[in-house]
Amino acid sequence: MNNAGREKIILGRAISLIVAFIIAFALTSIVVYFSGFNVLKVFWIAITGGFGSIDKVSLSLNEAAPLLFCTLAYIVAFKSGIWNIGAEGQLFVGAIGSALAGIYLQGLPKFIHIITIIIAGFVFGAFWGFIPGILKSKFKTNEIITSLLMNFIGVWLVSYVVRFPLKDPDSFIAVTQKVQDSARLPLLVTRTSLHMGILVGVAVAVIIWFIFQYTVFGYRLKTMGVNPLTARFGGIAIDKMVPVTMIISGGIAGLAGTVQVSGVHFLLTEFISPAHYGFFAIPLVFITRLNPFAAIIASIFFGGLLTGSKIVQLTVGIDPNVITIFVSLIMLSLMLDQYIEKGILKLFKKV
Amino acid sequence: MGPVLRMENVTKKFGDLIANNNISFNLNCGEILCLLGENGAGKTTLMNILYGMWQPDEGNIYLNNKKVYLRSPRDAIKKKIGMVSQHFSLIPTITVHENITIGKIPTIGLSPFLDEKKSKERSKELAESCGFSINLNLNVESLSVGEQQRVEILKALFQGAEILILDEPTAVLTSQESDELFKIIRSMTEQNKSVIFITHKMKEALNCDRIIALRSGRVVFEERVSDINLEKLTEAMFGKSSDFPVDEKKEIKNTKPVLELKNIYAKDERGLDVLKNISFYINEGEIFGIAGVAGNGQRELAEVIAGLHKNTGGKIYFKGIDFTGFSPKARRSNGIAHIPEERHKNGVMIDLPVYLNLILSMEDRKPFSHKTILNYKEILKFTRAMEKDFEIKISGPGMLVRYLSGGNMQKLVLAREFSTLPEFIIASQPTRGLDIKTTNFVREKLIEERNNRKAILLISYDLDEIFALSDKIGVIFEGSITIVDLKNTKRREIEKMMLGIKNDEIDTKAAYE
Repeated sequence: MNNAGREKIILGRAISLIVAFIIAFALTSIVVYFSGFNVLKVFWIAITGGFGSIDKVSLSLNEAAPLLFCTLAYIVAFKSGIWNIGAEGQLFVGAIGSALAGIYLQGLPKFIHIITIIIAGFVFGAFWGFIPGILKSKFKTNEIITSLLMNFIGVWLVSYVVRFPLKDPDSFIAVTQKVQDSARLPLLVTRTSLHMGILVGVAVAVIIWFIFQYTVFGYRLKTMGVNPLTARFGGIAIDKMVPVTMIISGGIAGLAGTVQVSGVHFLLTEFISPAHYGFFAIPLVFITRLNPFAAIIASIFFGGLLTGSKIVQLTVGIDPNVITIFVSLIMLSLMLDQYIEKGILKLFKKV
Repeated sequence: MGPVLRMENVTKKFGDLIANNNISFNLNCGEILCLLGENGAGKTTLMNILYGMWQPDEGNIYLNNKKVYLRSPRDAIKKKIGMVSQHFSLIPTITVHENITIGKIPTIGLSPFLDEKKSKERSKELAESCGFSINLNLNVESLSVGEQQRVEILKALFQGAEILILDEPTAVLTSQESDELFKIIRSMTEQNKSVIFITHKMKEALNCDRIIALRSGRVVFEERVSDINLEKLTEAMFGKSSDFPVDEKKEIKNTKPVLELKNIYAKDERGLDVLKNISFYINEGEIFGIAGVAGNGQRELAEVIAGLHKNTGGKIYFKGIDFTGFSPKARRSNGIAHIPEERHKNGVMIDLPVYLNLILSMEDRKPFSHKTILNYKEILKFTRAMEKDFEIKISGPGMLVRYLSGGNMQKLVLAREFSTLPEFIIASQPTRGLDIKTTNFVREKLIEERNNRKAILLISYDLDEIFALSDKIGVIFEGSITIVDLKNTKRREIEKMMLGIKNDEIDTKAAYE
């Protein structure tokens, strides 16, 4: 394909994104209007609420971090042709790993301790991902169903551990003890809440991009993703690659649990995924079209919206369900952009 | 009685491909009409037109001398045409009688609820009238394939089918089940139903009343089975032999066997034997051609050697080493290359660019990667070289394979497989669907590899190709291979072997003439 064609495609994509946004805002405006609120005011507060001050940006980026990890987890799996939709469960189980390492490992230097909790979160999440992976390669089970169901087991597993084995005996509610100070993620900007999670996320995104672009392993994953029959024909051992992919995907989702435990809550509770990041990321990953860099931008945008919508709820008093509709509509119209893009490309051809 | 069905001058095109070219035929009442032809001859297309799935570009369909337009299978069913395709449309988790009556569900009074008693009764009546014994209360998933097929037939009859199309019904059956199927069909035609039976197996065709043979979308033969001339039929199906000038074959001396198969057995997904006691060897600088009609075990043979399909018995030796348990990867890195039968399905990745397709199976070799990091400079250099050597027409290395023509796609596969430095090449249908120029190109390349002392297994449904390229020929029929003595065997005899016509059979048929 020549360069002129490429430019047209990029332009078409940009326009379609904008059109999708306009549709989303228009539809949301109708909902907001008929709920009896001032449309412009609501939008303004939503945007300034998400990005209006350094504190708000910090909150938004902290929301973006778990969202980014879950999206990246899906990107790794989907690019390899495996439909892991269990990031929510992998997040919860990863959080157990990080909580264990953060609470019970004592006296470690901060740097070592941080590395340890990250590894623990990855390993626990990876284990949760490995189960549907090995089931798929050994027994040909459908990973969509197994990984989906593993979500609920993972969430309930956390409910159990914070009530019984790991419960803080001095607390009246279902939480664990706090993690050691040395297990708290360092802040990026002092006197804000902004922890380094988003930076780790960006680093993981770059690593994923590099693996898929430049390594033999990534090449094999990609082949498996576009045509597993040809991959097998070319000598790639799919039976082994499937669980390995699920380990990586689950591990990355587990890191979302890590940042929630040691960056936001500093303990393990049932409420470490208030926006259900693992589920929220499923439509997100389609919007990014499996591009890890697009995942960074999308996560920050929706992280901001999540924060902004909380502020709207607090200040304007709009029903929280309207905010859910708001976010869903944006997601829906962004997913429509593929159709819009087709239309625009057709238009280009005619011109 | 006149014909119940007449298709007149039916033509159907898909792009440049003419699938059906001006086809006309009659179907008489109470007759079993066999539609005989190789894969791609246009049988299924023709029947899909009759079943309303596709509309013909030209031509008409008459039922009982009335012109009809069949716009959908629903139309066809209304006009009493039923079809049992190779892929069943049964619901596995409900019972046999529910599946049979699903097209016209008997309900309780005017309510929407199934009247189970009536459904069972009517299914039972129907089954008995056809002489089926089948447990109507079982779930379909617990039935054997043969039984499922009967349920599918009953389902079509329940909807009132007078004309029944069976699309390669025996492909999924054991030979015993096939015999039973014929009994069932006979009892149906005795009730004045008419059957169109699609097959590419000669033995089954001879069990029908009348045969129509298709080749490249045309009717090339039409005769009652009782008056049949097998000589003529064979010629009609294969065409007149034509010679390809292949004179570049070099004599190769001091050859050693490269690949040896000993008593290989294999089963297909349904657990039926597809390869039966296959033994042969191929020497350096030798092309071993496997002739045969599609679906006699060729695909499994190629896949067993490549390690993609498990053999249930026997051993494979490669350069004297027992290769049987080796993974596909290990086989490839030891020097086996494979040109697959269906390049679209497993030869290329259409959503990846040309340069990534070209390094498949060599991605971990130098110079394409070093210590697990891909070297794009070398990969692009290689792509340019292959583009030139194999005359692959691309707009650039980054062009998606999706946009390549079939011929260029095949050249890409060839370029890749020959670059893996093989000592043995499996070439399955290497020129399938290619134009003459590309076909000759591919054949020349194969001869070139042979002259470089490579051993080649050539699997082709095109007998001309087998003759043009092979040093040694084997005929595969129903999973067994017979090695042909080339000096004392005529081409016509090989063709008969391909169709499973034994010599004594020809003698008895000769009595008819």
